[in-house]
Amino acid sequence: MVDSPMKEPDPSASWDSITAGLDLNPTAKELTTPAILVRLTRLAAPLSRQSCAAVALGAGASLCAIGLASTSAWLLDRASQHPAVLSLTAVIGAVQLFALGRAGLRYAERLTSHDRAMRVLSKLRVLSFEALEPLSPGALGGARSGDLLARCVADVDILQNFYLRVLEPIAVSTIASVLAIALAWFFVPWAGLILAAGLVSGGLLIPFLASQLGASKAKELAHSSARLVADVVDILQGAFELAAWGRAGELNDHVLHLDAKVASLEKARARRRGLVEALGLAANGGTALGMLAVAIPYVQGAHLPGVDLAILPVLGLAAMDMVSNLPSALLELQRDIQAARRLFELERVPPPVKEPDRQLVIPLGAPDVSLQNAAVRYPSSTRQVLSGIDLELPAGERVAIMGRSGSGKTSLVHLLLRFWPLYGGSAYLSGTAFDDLRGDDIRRLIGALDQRAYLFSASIAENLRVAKPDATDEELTTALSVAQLEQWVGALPAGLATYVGERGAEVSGGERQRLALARILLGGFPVLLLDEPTASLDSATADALIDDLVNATQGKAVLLVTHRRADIREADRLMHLKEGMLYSTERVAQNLPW
Amino acid sequence: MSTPKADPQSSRGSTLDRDNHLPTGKTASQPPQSSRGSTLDRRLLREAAPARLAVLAAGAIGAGQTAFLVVQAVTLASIVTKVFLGNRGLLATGGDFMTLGIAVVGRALLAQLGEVQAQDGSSKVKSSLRRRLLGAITERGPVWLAGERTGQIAVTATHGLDGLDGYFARYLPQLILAVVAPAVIVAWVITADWLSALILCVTLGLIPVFMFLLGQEARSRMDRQWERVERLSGHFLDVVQGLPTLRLFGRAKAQARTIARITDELREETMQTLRYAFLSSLVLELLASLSTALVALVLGLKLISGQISLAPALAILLLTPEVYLPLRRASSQFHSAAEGVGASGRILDLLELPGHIAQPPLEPDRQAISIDAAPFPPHIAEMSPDESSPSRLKPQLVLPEPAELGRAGTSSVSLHMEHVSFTWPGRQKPALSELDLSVEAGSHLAIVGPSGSGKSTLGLLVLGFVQPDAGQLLVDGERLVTIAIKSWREQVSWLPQEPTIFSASVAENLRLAAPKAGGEEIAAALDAAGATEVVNALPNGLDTVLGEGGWRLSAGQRQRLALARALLRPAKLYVLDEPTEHLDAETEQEVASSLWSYLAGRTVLVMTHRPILVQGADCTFELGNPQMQMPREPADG
Ligand SMILES: Nc1ncnc2c1ncn2[C@@H]1O[C@H](COP(=O)(O)OP(=O)(O)OP(=O)(O)O)[C@@H](O)[C@H]1O
Ligand SMILES: Nc1ncnc2c1ncn2[C@@H]1O[C@H](COP(=O)(O)OP(=O)(O)OP(=O)(O)O)[C@@H](O)[C@H]1O
Ligand SMILES: [Mg+2]
Ligand SMILES: [Mg+2]
Repeated sequence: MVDSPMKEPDPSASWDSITAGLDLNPTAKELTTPAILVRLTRLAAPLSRQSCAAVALGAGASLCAIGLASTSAWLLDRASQHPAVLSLTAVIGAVQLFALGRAGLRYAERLTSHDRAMRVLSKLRVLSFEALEPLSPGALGGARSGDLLARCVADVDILQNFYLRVLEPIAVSTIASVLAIALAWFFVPWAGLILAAGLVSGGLLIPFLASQLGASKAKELAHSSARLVADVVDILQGAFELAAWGRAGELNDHVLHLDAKVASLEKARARRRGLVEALGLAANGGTALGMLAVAIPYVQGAHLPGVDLAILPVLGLAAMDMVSNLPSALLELQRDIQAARRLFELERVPPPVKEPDRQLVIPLGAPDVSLQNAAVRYPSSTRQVLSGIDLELPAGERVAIMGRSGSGKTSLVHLLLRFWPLYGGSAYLSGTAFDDLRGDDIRRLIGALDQRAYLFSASIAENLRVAKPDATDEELTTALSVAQLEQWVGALPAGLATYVGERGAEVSGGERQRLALARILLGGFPVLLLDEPTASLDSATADALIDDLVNATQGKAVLLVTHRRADIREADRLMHLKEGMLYSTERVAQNLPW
Repeated sequence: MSTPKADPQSSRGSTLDRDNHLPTGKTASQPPQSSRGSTLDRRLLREAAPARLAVLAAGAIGAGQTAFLVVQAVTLASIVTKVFLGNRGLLATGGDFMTLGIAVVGRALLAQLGEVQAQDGSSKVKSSLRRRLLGAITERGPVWLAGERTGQIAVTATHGLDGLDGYFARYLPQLILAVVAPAVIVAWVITADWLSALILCVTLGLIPVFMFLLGQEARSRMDRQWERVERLSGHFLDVVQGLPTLRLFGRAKAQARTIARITDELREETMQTLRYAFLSSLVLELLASLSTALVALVLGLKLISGQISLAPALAILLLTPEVYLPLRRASSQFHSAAEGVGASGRILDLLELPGHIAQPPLEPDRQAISIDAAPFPPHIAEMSPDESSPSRLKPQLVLPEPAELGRAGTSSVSLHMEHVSFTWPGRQKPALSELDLSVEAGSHLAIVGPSGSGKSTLGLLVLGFVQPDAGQLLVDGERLVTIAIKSWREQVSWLPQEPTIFSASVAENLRLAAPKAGGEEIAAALDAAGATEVVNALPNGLDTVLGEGGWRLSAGQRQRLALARALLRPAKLYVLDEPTEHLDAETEQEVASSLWSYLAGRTVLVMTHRPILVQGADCTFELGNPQMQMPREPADG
């Protein structure tokens, strides 16, 4: 009987908790916002020459815009005094120049800054994948793959806002603002002050307010959006079962509910965006208005030629226009920060196996593996799943391991693959301790057939060539024939180019397993760990497969995990795993302990 | 690394992985290029029907904003003129300042309104598309999208559609404004100076040309850009799920390079779209500058000759750039709109895909589904007017009232297959041919046969996921096609060969199949599947959260848990595909005996290759050559 307390059934079986997923790194402290901003900025640093160029171009374009507005306003004012047309040619020239300059510089700036931003995003994608790599399978198992997908695709995309609309525009508007303020000051000091005040409120205060407003629910939004992705992945990958249970509709409702929640969060955000945008526009008009107002007494007191008057409001409008995008960009800043946090979280999950600082080279020659008093423990449990394991696996020997389900056979395989670290004892590959070797180097020599064979959504040939990219078709066929698949492939209309479906869904269970076996054979590993190669096969196929396998693996060290007695007839040694301990049985022929 | 041989589709689909041979999968779902592009915006706008009001509102708001802009410019010009030429002071222009203030505030308020409106429209379209996609998945059954890549669809339906915000909230309002603003402004300019108005009209005449270019060329780029993002997503999910395998072969690092390459391609594709958008915006900007300069020149000359006064001239000058601003903005917002448009186009394409293995023409339980899944059906019922595509869910033939299944009170059904044949698309060899099989109510049939002989396919046929090419299935003598598929599935419990364990607690996973199951039933099912010890070993028992794929369990433990889930579901027919796969002989023996007694009196179909399990069945059916059904061999001890 089950010990744990039973709760009353809740038929609505809240999908909410079902799809919540696990925390990747529950114990870690959250990254602080400044740390995230620094990290994000640093990521762009190697491209800083490009960034500087973009900032310079942007500032140039903004100044041209200011110049264009001011000179053309002045031109009209001057013209209304009926001067000789010729006297205006210089100014007309300036107007044209500013106009062309603005257009050209803006174009160049946009190209540079977008290119730069896209480059940073590419880098982020690769970085996040590289962060994932060492975590798999040990530290990633709890996560929903849809969530990881959301991080590496959607969250990275969101960060565009930071690079395009926050980081660089702040730099551009700072530079251009100083110059615009100086220009206004030159005409009327008070106007300069008002412009400064306008720019500070439009470029600093309102954006700051925006970023504060944006903080509310940003986290909720980020998580809900990611959950949408993960839920759709579940709906698609669990589609058959959900349909069979008649529960697909409910899950859909849950997703639509989540969608409605996201929509209402987005609507709230739009209201805030509208607010800051309105404030920005008000600051924009107010500044122009104020600059005009303070300049009027100067004109009346003859401190400012009347012909220059129009320049001030127009200058104000143009200058404020530069910062007009900052509020809405900063409203999204919190969203960027959440996205970045979710990305950087991946890097902070400690990999289960630490790579050595120094790397030793594995001696050449046929490798052998040995375990001495080895132990494995999973972080989530207090019990050692394997303990006191002594195992010798010399070249050319075939060792079979049997044991009850859950006794630790797969754990042993994963230990040898260096997917999990030793909790105690030691492991050697050709006499070199595992702790001194890089995981990749170990896996170059030790290959394994996973208990749950994974096929990529690709053709048969492409799946096999994962093991050996330059394998010829003949090599593929040889491997397939050991796996008892040659005839099957031969009968397929598309042969080796047959698409196997997503995760191998378009081939039968036994075919999937045998394709994976063919793939591992193609890898040419001197040490082979085979975790239940015959689990999904009928006896006749299994027997034939084992016979061919024995021939194909002559001279290699083979560890065969199996539940079928018939599989072990060619084994040199049989071992028995029981509750995490490995017992050896002298010869297969002798009495077996069960 | 190099490709030894470029595979035939690599030009289009498989550019993904020249390094690694981990390619993109099928591109079968891509409809012919012609159906995209040209009709896309229209399709999207039709989709935007729920948002039509919002779009109209955006137009009205845009007109209002422009009117305020005109007021702002005119007042500003008038103040300048009064002070400069009329030598008035601050007080004398106070009224103008008031007007200016009102215009500024009015514009600001309208901006706020516009933002909310736009988001509203965008949310509506996004939700409607999502709902239709999910609804279609439920309605058409899981086989419909089985050939698509999950990662692509997942990202398209979520993040991709979110891109519609960019379209509805930024691009579309600007595009509307690009029509409204020039109209409002030119209308005012005509009253002030017809020559300037003429100049504006002539340059504006060029704009439709640009709109057309933007619309046509750029749209196909939007699609292409989104295709890249999709490809990246599909690839990414595949790679993440297969990461242990990649690490096994030392190919994970190479994948990082592949991902770098794909995202670089995405960057280049995006930059090309952008270059195009920016170039058109450059041309527009030059056009704007040109006409500003021209207008300034004309006004200047007119001023000098006294044909116009300063105030209107200044106002016209202030307004001239505003005529082009919306269009320029639209072309620079193009990028933020691209993804949403591409993604929604893709969803619409998917919805037009025919189910690739047809479900029965009309699922008689349509009503049943629509009642308990309230939110979505209206759309599906009233989908778009052109019903040319076969996937439309319009009733195509009227079936008799769905038969109520089973005689009241019985706890099992009989199942007969008559000459059933089935061949998977793209395969030559039939998975099942001329199959005759019968299971009497309450009896246990073991189906055996070599790997690939069609055991699992048979299970899919019984569940109604695929339809036989020939022959028929009879349930209690009733043809399966006439039974409401939903009520049929309610009578069946199915253990697939590769069961899915969701990222949830053990109890939640179990109750997925049997929402009403109580504690005792759960305990009994766990016992029968030999899973009690599995659950007891977990740190929080039934409440332990398992993680995707039941990752913290051994394969045999997962199998037993999935079996318990199948047993927990109350059903008249149990279809168990390899229930004891991954179990050792000893455990299997225990599970087999408790399983058969737990299922006594129910009809059971079990596909297996394990002799221990076969021994307990009443009857064995051998698939493959020759097919035959035989009673259980006499017990040998
Ligand atoms: N990541 C993990 N975290 C915690 N416990 C785990 C984890 N992986 C496996 N276990 C537990 O460790 C024990 C051994 O698991 P393992 O997969 O090695 O068994 P196995 O011998 O391969 O069984 P089977 O024959 O069913 O495949 C099981 O009780 C399992 O629940
Ligand atoms: N979705 C699919 N698309 C195309 N072919 C398929 C699909 N599913 C299965 N097949 C093919 O149909 C045949 C029968 O497959 P099925 O899964 O029914 O076999 P099985 O008897 O269950 O085999 P196993 O014992 O290996 O599980 C196989 O050759 C397989 O490749
Ligand atoms: Mg195992
Ligand atoms: Mg099968």
